[in-house]
Amino acid sequence: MQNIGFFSPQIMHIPDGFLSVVVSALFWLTSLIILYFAVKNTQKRLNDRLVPLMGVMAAAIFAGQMLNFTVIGGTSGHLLGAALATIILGPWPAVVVMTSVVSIQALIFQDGGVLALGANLFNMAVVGVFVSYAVYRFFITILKKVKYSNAIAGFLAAWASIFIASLSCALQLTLSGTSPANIVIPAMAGIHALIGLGEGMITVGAILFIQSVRKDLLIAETARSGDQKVIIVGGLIISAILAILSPLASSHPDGLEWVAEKSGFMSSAKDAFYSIIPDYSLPGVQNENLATISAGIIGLLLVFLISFGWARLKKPSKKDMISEG
Amino acid sequence: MRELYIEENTPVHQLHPGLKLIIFVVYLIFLNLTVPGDWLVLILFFLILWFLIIWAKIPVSLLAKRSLFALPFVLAAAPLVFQGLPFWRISIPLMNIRIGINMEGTIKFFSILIKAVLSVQAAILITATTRFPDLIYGMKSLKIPTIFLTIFSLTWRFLFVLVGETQRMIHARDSRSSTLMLKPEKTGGKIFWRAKVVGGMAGSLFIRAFERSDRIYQAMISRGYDGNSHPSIMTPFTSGKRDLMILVCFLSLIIMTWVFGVYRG
Repeated sequence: MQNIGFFSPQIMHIPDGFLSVVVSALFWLTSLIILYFAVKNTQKRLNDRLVPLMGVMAAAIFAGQMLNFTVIGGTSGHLLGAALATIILGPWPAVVVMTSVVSIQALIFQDGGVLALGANLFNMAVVGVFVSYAVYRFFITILKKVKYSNAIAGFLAAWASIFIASLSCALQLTLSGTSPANIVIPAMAGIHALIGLGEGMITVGAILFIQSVRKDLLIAETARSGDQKVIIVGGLIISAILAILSPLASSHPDGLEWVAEKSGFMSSAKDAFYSIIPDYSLPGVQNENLATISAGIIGLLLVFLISFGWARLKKPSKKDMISEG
Repeated sequence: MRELYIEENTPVHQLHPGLKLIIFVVYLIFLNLTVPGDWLVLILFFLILWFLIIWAKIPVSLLAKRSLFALPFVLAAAPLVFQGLPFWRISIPLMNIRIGINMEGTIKFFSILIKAVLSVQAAILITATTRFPDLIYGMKSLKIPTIFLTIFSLTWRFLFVLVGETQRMIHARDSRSSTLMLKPEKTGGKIFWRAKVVGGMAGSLFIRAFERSDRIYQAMISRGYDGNSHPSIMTPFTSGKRDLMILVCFLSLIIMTWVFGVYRG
C-alpha cells in the first residue's frame, strides 16, 4: 500500500522559502490569536469530549483528502474538507480540526513549510472555515423555502472557501515579493475557481448522504451553537477585503502599491515592502490592461499545462497501485 | 503510507527533540532572512545542513526524491524572471516573440529556489531523525500548549486507521465502477454521478469517524479520562552536556553565517 494523495503537492500549501520572514511572522501571529479563541470556544462547548472528537475528525479530513474523482483526462477533483468540517462540526471546532490537519501535514509530510505554517493555517483553517461558514449561513437563511437549500448552500460555501483562500495565498506571495500580483492572482484565482467546483460537488454529495443517513448531525450543529455572528461577520469581511483587493492589486499598473497608497494602508512599512515589488509589464505589449490580461492568461495556461503534464506523468504509478492493492 | 523515520543511532538522532526543533526553526529563520543573490552565504547554509544530514546517515536518494515535492510551487516565483526591465532579450525567431530576462528577478528566483529546497531538506532531516511521539515530547518541552499536542497525537494515532478505511473504500469503488485498469481515462457514469459517489464516500467517512470518536470518548472516560491529559510514560530525554554543546555550536554557526552575509552585503 503506497501513499496515494499524501504527497501530491497541493498548490495551496506554501513551502518555506517563498514567504518573507516578516510576512510569515505576521500571519503566525494572526493565526495564533484566532486559534486561541477557537480552542477556548470549543473547549467551553465540548468540554472533555474535545480531544477525541477533534483528533479523530482531523484524521478523517486528512484521510478524506485522498478521495478524488476523475474529471477529464488526467485531472481530478479533490476534497480539502474545510467547508465539510465547518458544516458538520461548526466553525470554531472546524478551525481546530483544520489546524491539526495542516500542522501535521507540515511537520511530518513536508507538505507546506514550518515558517510558512502560520500563513497556511490562516488560508486553510481561518479563511477557509470563516468564509464557508458565512456563505453557508447566508444562503441557508435566504433559501429557507427551497427544497435542497443546504446542498446549494454547501456547494457555494465549499467553492467560496477554496476560491477566497487561494486569493489570500496569492496576496501573501505578492506581499513577500515572490510573485507579481498581476500574474499570481489571476493564475491562482483561475485555477482554484476550477478546483473549487470539484470541492463543491464532493461537499454536496457528502451533505446529501449525511442528510439521508444521519440528519441529526446536520441539525444538531446549528441547534447547539446558534449563529456565530462573530464568524459570519469575520467571514464576510475577509471575503470582501480579498475579493476587492485582489482585482485592484492585479489590474492596476502599480498593483498593491497603488492600493496601499489609496487606502493609506501600511504606509510606514511601504518602503520596506514595496521596493521589492518593482513595476512590471509584459515585454512587447504596450497597453497596460492588455499586458495584465495576457500575463494572467499565460500564467493560467502555464499552470494548467504543468498540472496536466504532472497528472499524465503520475498515471503509471496509479496502475502500479491498483495491481499492488 | 509510511513514517519517514529512519532508524539509526547517530548523535543527531539522540539529540533532545526540543533542542532539535530550536535549531531547526532558527535555521529556517536565518536562511530565509538571507539577502537574495548572496550565494556564498547560501552555500554556507547548505554546508551546515548537509553536515548534519551526513552525520545522521540519511540516504541522499530519499532527500533528492522528497525535495522534489517542493518544486511545483516554484512556478509561483517564475514570473520574477520576466518582470521589470529586461537585461537580456531572447527572441524566438519563427514566432516573433521576444522574451526579456530580468537579471535581478532571475537572481531572486534562484535564491528562492535554493531556500525552498534547503528548507524542505531541513524538515526532512528532522522528521527522519525524530519519531512522532518524540517530536510531540520536544514541543511539550518548548511549552506548546498540551491541548494541541494531545489533539495532534490523537490525530496521528487514528490517521492510519482512517487512511486504511479510506483505502478500502477506494478499492471497493475501483472494483465496482470508477476506473478501468487498462483505460484509466475511461470512467463509469457521468461526472456528476462520479462526484456524488465521492461525496457519499466522504460523508460516510465523516459519519464513521464521528461515531468512532464517540466510542473512543466512552473508552477514555471508562479508563479515567477527565479532560486533562496526564503525562504518558515515555523515555525521557536528558539534555546532557553534549546536547548543549551541539545546540550552542550550531546556533552560533547559523547566526555567524548570517551576520557574515550582512557584513559582506
